[in-house]
Amino acid sequence: MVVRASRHAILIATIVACAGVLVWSFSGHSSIEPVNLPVDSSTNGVASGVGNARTTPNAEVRDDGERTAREGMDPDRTVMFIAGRVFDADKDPLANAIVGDVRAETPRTTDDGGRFELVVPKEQSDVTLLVLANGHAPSLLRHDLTAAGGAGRAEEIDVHLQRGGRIRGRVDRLGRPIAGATVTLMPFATSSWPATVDAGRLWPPIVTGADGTYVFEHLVPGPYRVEAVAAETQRRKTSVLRVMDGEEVIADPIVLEQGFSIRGRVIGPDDEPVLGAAVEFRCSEPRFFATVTSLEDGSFAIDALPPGPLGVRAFRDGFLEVQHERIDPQVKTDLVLRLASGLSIKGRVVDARSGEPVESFAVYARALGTIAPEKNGTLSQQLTRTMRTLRESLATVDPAERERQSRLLTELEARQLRVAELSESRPRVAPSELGEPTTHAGGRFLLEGLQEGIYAVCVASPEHAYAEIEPVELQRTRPAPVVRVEVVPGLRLAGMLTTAHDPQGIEGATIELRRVFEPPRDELDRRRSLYPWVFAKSGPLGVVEQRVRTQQGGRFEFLQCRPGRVALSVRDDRLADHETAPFTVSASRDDLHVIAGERAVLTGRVIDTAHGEEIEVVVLGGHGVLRTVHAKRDGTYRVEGLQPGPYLVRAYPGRTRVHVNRLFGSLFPLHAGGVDEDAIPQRDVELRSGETRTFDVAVARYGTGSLRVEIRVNGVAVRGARAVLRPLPGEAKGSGGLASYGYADSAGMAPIADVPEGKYTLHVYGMGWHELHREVVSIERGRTLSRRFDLTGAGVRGSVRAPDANSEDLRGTLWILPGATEGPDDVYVYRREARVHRVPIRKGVFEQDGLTCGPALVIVQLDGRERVVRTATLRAGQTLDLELDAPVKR
Amino acid sequence: MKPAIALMPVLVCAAVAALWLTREGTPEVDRVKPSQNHETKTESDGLRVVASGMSEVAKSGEKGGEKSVAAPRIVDRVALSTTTSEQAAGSSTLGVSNDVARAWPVRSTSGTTPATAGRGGANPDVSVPTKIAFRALWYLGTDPEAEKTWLRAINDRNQPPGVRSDLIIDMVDEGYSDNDHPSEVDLPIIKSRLELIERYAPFAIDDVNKRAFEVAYRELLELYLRLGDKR
Repeated sequence: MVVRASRHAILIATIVACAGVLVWSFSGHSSIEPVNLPVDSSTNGVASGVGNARTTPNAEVRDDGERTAREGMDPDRTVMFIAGRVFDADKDPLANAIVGDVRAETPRTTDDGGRFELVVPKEQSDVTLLVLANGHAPSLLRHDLTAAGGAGRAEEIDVHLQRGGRIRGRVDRLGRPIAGATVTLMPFATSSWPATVDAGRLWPPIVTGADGTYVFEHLVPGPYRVEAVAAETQRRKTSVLRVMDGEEVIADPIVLEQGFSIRGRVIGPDDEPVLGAAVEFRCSEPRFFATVTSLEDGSFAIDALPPGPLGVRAFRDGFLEVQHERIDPQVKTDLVLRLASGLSIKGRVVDARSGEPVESFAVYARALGTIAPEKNGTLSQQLTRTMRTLRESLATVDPAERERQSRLLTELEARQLRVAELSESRPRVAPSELGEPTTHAGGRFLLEGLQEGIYAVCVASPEHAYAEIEPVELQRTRPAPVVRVEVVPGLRLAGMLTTAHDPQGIEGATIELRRVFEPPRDELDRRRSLYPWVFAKSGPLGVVEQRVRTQQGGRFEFLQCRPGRVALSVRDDRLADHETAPFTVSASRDDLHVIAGERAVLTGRVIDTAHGEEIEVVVLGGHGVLRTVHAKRDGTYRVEGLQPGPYLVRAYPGRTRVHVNRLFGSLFPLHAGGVDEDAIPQRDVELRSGETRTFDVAVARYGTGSLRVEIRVNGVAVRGARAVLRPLPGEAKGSGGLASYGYADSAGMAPIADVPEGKYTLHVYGMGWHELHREVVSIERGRTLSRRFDLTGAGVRGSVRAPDANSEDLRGTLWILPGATEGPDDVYVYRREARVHRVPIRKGVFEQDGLTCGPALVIVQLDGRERVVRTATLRAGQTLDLELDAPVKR
Repeated sequence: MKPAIALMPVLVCAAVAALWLTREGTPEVDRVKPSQNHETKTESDGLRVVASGMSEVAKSGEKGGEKSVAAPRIVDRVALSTTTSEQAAGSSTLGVSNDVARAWPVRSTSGTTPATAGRGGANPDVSVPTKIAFRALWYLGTDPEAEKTWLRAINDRNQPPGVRSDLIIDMVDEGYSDNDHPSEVDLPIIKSRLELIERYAPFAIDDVNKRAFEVAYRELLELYLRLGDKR
């Protein structure tokens, strides 16, 4: 070892000596000169000033003046520096970790001291750091930069990495491990990460070895699934696996079954191959959906199919889609899918006053729906279908129900009429798909390549108001419909946008022309906002018909407008949101003058805070604004670009989103009826247009404690069992009414940290969210409450038989009411006060573990049937088999 | 000639000798140790060391690993672990390696504008913060300004389609006296929401919103039929 070290020392000393002499010789004996290079590096790996010849990056970062001079930076400081340190799971600085902003493509690595430094444009108000390091789970951290105080300053960010969790499993077929299976991780845990981060690349698919096993390591805590496929097998997924830091999850073996393949061709009406047609394959049991695209010769191929029966659909723009049902891939391995030509709509556009053809226009067929959907569909179709069902059932129900349904039928008929009226009278908004106007001789047009369905024909002529004709039905068995679109002259609305400080006009702002809905006067009187300071400003409702940007001098112009009641709205990052009062348009105008307000700034100091303490300031109000910023080390904060209006301002220790959640939890009950207006706090500041307001805010500190729960069911630690703390009303002020959750690890330990002090109901659940225990507990500041539960649990399984129905159609709920002796009228009301287990019945069968032991009432509730009540006794550690008769139909 | 130039041949010889002397130790210094079970390619351009001017592969960041470069470095391509059946069958672990085939898992963001003075929340570009939009949803049918806020959120193309869809469909489940079990007392809200869909569904900005409106209307109609007009 000593010899090796000395060899290294010789090498390093020699290289250093060479380099030193070279520099000395070529620089005329001067000291080492700084390198003047752009601050940010290009991707060719050119050295940047940030990384050059220094060992204490933070010291340099803090000295902006020196940095600017040394590196020849733009004195306007167009960039902001972000520095920080990365620590490993043992809280030691971590070298060679990779750190980058998810908006940038060039990350950096940390030095021996775990330090990193990034450069971001000064306009950027926040940075989201992705940190990767060997032996650790990736970490994503969003950091607000608005408190940095402008460009050129450095932000210090410490990142503490976790080891992460691990999923281990095996892939089998016919009881034997499969080597060479491809195993893919599906990371739901990273689903909330920015779309620019391709989390799938963090844990690439792996191939199983001879023993069929796989391991995914260093996983971010959270839910995952794992999918596997091998040659000539179907794909299979695990159930959702919840990963915790430092824990290993052993997944159930993924058992692969034989898969099937289909090859085929997509051809057009003339037998020519169709390139780029999408071919969908779907199966309901097992659930399967996949799409392939046809190649140049029209061919396609798909493997890993389930045995079926399969539904196959092929489609491409310009052709009518083709569908085949009940394809058996065990029999049918070759498919030829023939696409017929699409359908068409013919039409003519004429001026409504003169009857003369209009030759310049854009035309588009907007799909409204399918002809006869089995489910959903347009509102009118849904109402028609619902009324038909009601009429059919009238003969089979008892008189009281018949009377009720008749009344409903009458109301639905009225609703159907209203929908039709609205459809005719509603404002027309040009779809974004409409292209530029083109010339159409004689005003004639032809829309081709359409699918069957219901359409609206949309016409936009430069000289006329936008027009639509609907509904136009297209069916392959009927001739192409011919429509006549009458257009009326369009109006021009023009004007100017200014602010009080800039009467010359604001260029580049967005102005919306909104068609106003006028609700009945009594409705306006009846309804008022519960949170007028958080929700949008009071004003008429409406839809945006057109949107333009202001030109030089703040000029704007709307063309092709229709007469009627409208209002203008201003949207711009520099300006306050603004809405004009509604006004009636009956002729063209160019005298509109909109004066918008300006954004405001809130600044101040967080009081009652230690120097350097991490503080988050939350600003809520301004008719739809929620902003969080970090206070600077000296306790000051600044929030720019705020909408004028009233605000709540709060400061919290730390940088955790839970504060915002708890604030929202305390402000907004689950429904309007639960709002106590007296309990809504008075707003702290009211910002006026263009104002910079100073407001000092005290840190809201709530004492917190923690809970340590050990859960065993039938003597065994249950991994994934849950402990939930639900605050008693008014008894845990800092909680905001929000529950806190703990998930048991493999030792059955379910800790919950950072719980605001107060009284809670502690609920203990086994697997599947079935409550096994409940008690009231008190969480005290700075203390840890420990609880150990040795609970018993039982299971049920079985089926429901019905002589008058296929078991596939039996769907409903098996309610288990522990200790109940009499079936309640309404289980939902009963369960507010008492424990109830809800077990789903699907295709006539049910199975559930982890239920309360002892005597219970069992209620069978199936869709469209009466309920059946019986008694049962569930015994600890046992599964009760139940074979039940389905209740009679209602 | 400067004295240093004269010394150069001597120094070069010394460097060569030192390299020869250290030839056994070199692999230990430079060996890629990304993490166990990693592919063991050793191309040197996976991570480019710029501060030292050396082209050196990254070494393990785990404690005890070799650490030879002190200054922060720019990484022009970042490697993540990969696993093949030959080298580490059945195992995949996150790590920083020198595998040039793998890149920083961040897609190009060129063309995106930095957030400036948006309304805040997780996505600063949206017109209504998602958190506020979902609270507005709770009071839909009773609060006119909540309706206006919600309307702005669902018609904002900066809102992810999934969020817009949830904002529409969740009106079926949220904002009732008991969300698990809406009852007759919630009928005014249900009727008001049906009317709201009738008013806005024709203006759905895309297929996502259109389908969401259709689903919400169907489910609210079912709820209305179950609860409506009981006397």
